Amino acid sequence: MLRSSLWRTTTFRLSALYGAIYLAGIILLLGVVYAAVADSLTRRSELALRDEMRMLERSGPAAVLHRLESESAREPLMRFALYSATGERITGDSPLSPRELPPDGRVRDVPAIGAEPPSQALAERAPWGEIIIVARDGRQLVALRHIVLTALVSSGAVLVVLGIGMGLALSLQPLRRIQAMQLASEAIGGGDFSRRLPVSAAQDEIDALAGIANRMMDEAERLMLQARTVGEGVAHELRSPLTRLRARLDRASQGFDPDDPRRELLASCVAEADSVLARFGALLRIAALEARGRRIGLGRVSLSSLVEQVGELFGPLAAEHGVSLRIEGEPGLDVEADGELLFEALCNLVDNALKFTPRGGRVRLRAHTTPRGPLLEVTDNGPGIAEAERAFVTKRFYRSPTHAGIDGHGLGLSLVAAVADLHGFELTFDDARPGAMVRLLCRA
Amino acid sequence: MARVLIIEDDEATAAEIARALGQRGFQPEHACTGEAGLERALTGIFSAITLDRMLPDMDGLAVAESLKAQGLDTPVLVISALNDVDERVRGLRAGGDDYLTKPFALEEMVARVEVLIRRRQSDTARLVLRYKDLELDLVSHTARRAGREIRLFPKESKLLEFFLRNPEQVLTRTMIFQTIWGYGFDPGTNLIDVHIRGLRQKLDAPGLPPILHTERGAGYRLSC
Repeated sequence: MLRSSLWRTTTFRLSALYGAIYLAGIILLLGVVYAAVADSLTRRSELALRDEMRMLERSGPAAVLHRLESESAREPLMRFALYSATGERITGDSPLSPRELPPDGRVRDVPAIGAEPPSQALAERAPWGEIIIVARDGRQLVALRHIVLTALVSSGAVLVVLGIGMGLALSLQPLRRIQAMQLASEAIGGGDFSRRLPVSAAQDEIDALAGIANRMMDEAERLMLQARTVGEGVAHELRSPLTRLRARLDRASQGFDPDDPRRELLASCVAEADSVLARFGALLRIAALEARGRRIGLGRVSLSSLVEQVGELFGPLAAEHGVSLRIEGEPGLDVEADGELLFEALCNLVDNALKFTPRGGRVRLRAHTTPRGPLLEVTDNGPGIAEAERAFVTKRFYRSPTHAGIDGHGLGLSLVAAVADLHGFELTFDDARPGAMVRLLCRA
Repeated sequence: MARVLIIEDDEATAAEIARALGQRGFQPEHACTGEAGLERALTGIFSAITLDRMLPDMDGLAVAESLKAQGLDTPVLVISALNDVDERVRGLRAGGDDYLTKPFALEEMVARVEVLIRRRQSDTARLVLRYKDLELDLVSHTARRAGREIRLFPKESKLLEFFLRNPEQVLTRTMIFQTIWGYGFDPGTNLIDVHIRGLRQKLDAPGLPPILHTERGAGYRLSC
């Protein structure tokens, strides 16, 4: 995880940018040092050549020959040559001639000629007309340049490795902290609202940010709790008086003759109270499930026996509706789940499918393996769920405007969604062409 | 006359329970605290106990545990405001014999108390259950009414067994769902109705009086 996310973190990208700038700086610095050293070496060599030339020119036409010979004996690195004003060679130990080296007083680099090593050379016409050539062995200069270059490159390499290594090591620490925060945030996003981001003792800017996020979480948790308790409180508070009301209506209805229309009226009031109570019950149940925050009694649940049970429970109801209910359970398909909650969720899905499928239709409940995990699938060939509505069907009390004539309180799918969420299962709605297809993808 | 002990701290609730039980011919007695309830229960004169889950002095479940620990086999109906599958399981595990969530319909509460008392008295070892002209063989899963053999599906057989063990007794839909299917949530009225209708069709025959009755707003009753 550390390695894969390394490239995506700001800290690392900053470190990499810093590294690149550092590297460029080192190269520039060493380049400048090298250029300066090489230039200074070349200048010193040139200076020596010019000194030599000046001395020879100063000795005058009569003494130049003698001087030339004695100098070449004294300076082992130096070579000389003397040409007449018309360009004929008079004497000297350098093979260079004014043809390749014009006598213009400029120092030139001369490549190796035969056994002669490369050199720096200077040709000048003496005041008395003859041409003097002075050459200096270049090998020393090249060797010196090479030594400087090697020293600079190797020290540069050490600097770069050290610098980038240090940068990496320094960026790893904040990276770890960011990662701890990422884990904590994911846990919070996963429903653990009591988790907070870690705050270190350093009190730096990361801690300041974490502190702000934590305070936001405190507030969000408080508001959530408040909203939940208000909703639950209303349902809770109204249930007791409603239950009493229902009991009294029921008792009142017993007081009339079975044929009395007032008895019928009161019985319908009891039924209405029952339906309100069922809604409150479902609402409180969903609230209780959501409040559990992923703490459920998990166990091995066999999906095939679960769908068989659902089939057995709903078989007679389907037959009465004139809808064929087909159960397909792949044997040996187990998931970690709360069996009772999963059963309740499936019952809600099948109940819905039966409700919306017209007489003569088909409902199929299937449990099978997919590459992504065990899948529970309820398919019908009823009117289906319009694409635009799919995002809303799990919202509490949502009822499709097209289903106004069908009984229900719009809480069934909210409950299924709550159960799916508790388990970390994936609930999706699709088109069965025609009809609805509801899928619950489980983690094995 | 069967005595029932009501352990409940809320006076109004206790009075309602007492009145409903009284109407059905029970002799109710009320204890306000867990301590007092334990003391009264241990006299052993009660046929059943209703026990509030939350009492001021102790946890209702601790009372139930304590009763069972002292060898008392009086059936206990735990009544709780906590509506949760886990709570129900915890209540039953602690020694409650049945679990009911507040708020509840009084008929439901009375029906459960009656079933609890009858369960204790009934002989569970019997292999053939009888009521009037109806009998059920628990081994072969076949029923007979007035000598005519009736073939039953396993679930229908379990359903009929529940009625035959509690004849002339109102059984509510949630009680039936909990007993036959073993799940604690509210299955909705229609679902159980359909199963009852199926069973009723098999039990009825021309010339015989109906035997499985619907008690409006409450549940069903086996009676002739």
